[in-house]
Amino acid sequence: MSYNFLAYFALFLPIVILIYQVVPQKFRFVVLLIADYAFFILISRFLIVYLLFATVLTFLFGLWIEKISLMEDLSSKEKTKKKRKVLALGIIINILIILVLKYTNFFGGAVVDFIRIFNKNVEFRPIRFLVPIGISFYTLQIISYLTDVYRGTQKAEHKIVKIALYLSFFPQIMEGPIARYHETADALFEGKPIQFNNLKFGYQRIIWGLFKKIVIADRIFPAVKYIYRDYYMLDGSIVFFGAVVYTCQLYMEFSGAMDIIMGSGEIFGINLPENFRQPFFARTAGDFWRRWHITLGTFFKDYIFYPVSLAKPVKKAAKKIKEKCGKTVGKFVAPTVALFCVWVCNGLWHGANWTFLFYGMYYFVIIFIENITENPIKKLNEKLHIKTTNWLYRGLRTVKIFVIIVIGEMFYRADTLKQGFQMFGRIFSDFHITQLFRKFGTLRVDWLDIFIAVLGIIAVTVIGVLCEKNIKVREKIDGWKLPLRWALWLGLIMFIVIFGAYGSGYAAVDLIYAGY
Amino acid sequence: MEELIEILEEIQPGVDYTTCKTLIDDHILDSFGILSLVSEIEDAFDIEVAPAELVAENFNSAESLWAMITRLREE
Amino acid sequence: MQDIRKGKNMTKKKILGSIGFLLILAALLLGSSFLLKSDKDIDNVVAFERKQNDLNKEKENSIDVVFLGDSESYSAFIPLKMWNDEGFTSYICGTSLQRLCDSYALIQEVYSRQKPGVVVIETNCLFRTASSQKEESSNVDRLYAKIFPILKYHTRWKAYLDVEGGTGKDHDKERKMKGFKYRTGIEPYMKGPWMHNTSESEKLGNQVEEYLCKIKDYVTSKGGELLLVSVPSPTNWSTQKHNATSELADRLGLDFIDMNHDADEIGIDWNIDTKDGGNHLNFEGAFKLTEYFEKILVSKYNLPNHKNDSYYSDWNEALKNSKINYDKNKKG
Repeated sequence: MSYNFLAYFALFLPIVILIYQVVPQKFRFVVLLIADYAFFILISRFLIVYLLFATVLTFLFGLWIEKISLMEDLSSKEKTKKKRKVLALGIIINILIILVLKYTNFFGGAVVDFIRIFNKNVEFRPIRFLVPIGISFYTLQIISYLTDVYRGTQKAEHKIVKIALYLSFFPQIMEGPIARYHETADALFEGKPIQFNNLKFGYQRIIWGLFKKIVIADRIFPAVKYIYRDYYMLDGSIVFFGAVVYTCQLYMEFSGAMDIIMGSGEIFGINLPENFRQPFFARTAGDFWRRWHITLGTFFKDYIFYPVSLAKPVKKAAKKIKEKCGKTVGKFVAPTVALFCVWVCNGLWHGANWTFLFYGMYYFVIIFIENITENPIKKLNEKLHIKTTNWLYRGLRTVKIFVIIVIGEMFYRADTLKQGFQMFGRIFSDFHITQLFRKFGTLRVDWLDIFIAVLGIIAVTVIGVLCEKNIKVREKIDGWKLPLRWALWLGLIMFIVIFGAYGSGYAAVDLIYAGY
Repeated sequence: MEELIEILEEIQPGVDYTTCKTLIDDHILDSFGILSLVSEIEDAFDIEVAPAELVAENFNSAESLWAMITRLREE
Repeated sequence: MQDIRKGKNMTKKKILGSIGFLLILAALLLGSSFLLKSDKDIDNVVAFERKQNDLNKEKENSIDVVFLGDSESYSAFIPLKMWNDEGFTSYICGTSLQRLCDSYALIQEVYSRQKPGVVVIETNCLFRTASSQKEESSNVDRLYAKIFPILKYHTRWKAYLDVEGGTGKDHDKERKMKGFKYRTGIEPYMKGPWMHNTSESEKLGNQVEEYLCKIKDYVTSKGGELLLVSVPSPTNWSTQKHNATSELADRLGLDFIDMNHDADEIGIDWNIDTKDGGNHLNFEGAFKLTEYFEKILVSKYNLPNHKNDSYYSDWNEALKNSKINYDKNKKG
């Protein structure tokens, strides 16, 4: 679906801001909740029943777990057992809903394919379910809330309104980030007046996000579309380039959307957790996933990785293997099992397609290898006196991780696993770098557009370097003299208006992550 | 406490655990290291560490770790 | 007391500052609108101006037939082949997703330097809004675009920076082939017949009849004839569309040739003649279609044969330079 940006930041947002500010503090959360639901209904209409149902369910289950904790006639062990059952029920209901809505066709197709192996002719007619916006995001928030209540690290909420606000905050609903209850719920309910600085910085961040999406991401999209559609006719070098351009588009769009979302939250004084931290500066694949879609990674870490690795059956197996094969092997058992679970979930969370499962397994294998080779490589480096701060070492490492990321994203975007492998194959079987240079002008983006895109990428890279050094760019700019400041922001806005890849001559581009 | 520091140094050498207070924030201990650590201290101190304990407040320094261990021992 | 006053002054400053900022922004938007807006009733200004440039490279009064429409038009008719086989000149003024408002603007542009006797409209564009109003733009977009036209015309920055240099090799080739897009990929169409028996009619695009009338009147006033044509396209065409177009053609007194019924006679093999599963013909398919259609044009409209006219020698040059053999029954 397309995000109608003008309607969002030039109409919806200002109106909500105005009403929010003007209304007395105790009613502000009402304004916010109405805005949240209005936003939801505008996109998914009557499907809001799913969100409302999930809200009520989460509220009740949270209280239920709390009630068990307060039962005086039960021992601590019995309480834990009961609470665990309630938690499991709550999680299972929510996951079932998502499974049915989004994964029925995938599983149905897989079952049919499996049966077909035995030469039985079966048919599965795909059912078109209507999926509410944001269900993949708010479901994870629900799981985190209920689990935290179960663990005792979060008090059960007695005001259903706060749960409602937590699950429906309109900037988060389309693409996340996935926030924990304590990160947003109180601030959403408090209704503090909007601070001018927050308003200013928030809108500045929104503008930066628009720049990334409209000037860069949407501009290079036609090349991605073309290369992915006609890959079987194109040279391997062009296919690889297509994967590179897609990775760029994905980053610009997703992180740009994050900027818009974070900026929107910032306006209301809500500190949403960051989802990106200069991912292309990563040193390893593991590091990459601590910089890309950060809140998804921390969700899986806290609610799958640790629980699985500390689960009794896993601990038992780990102990057995430690005794048989020694500590150096044994210590990898629990984390690897947990890692596998995380990546199955991560892959499938992204979509009901074998390509996403492959994507998850791809990173599982790579991160697993990184884990088991970390110490041996360290020792090797010491033996050979290789300094890891050496520029050549760092350069090669950057190239390595870049290739890993690009190949991963290439499969991610492929429509089928077969296409992914075919594209991958072409890169090796048919690679002629001269073809790329010769055919550069035929990739559906003309030279003027390429020039603008490159300018934009350079600008984003520069800002990235500054952020990596922990320099607060907006605050720095705020310290400049007024004419310079205004010139910069007005210039940036006008640049987006004039050079944005929208309107006639540019195809409308759907948000990549907004189907989740 | 010394036993704890020994364990830490075996898992991730080269850090002054008596003074460092940002083991998690500075990524000195990654999730992998944390799990190794948990496995060791569970064995060494005969406690059970629940997932809920795996937060920065507990793992950022040797002191906070020791506080957690002491607390879990008493339970 | 002083603090409160200071606070109030700060707030005043901030509010005034913000208003000032927004006013300057509005001024910039209006100013750039003034520089870049176009009075023409055109949907895709960049595509229009590119065609304008291309047409200006043709000699005056050298074009006999003009084709309008969307990508169906520039995928199916090969001007160099028509020149090769029958000696008349033609030009494809079709553009991607063309709307009739652009067709109207283009045909006026054509007649400023040319005098084509026949204007052919590929009818796929009749089922798309005829005016320049974008469907996906919401009322908010339209409102803002009315106040700040720059939002609609901003892509014309390319026109300001000499489109010529920015169009790439692909466009060069297209211009040399007189507007035809040469594509050789194959993606078979395998779903069988697509023109089923029905008396239903599909709804025409918004304001289509109005714009088609304008185009017809204009072409007639310039001494030309307007012809509606539908290129075989299983994924785009249907009997419902045929019926609607037929009725429209009757109302306006226009001829309508639907080649979807003649795909077999034309010799189209959907296993090799389409580049995208029946959406567009590729070069092979266009070759066969042009061979079929050029005969119809010649017999229907008494088109001249300029093969030996030295004024048209550049067409022979173009034919030689294209290095493609357009002769009948020989595939390039």
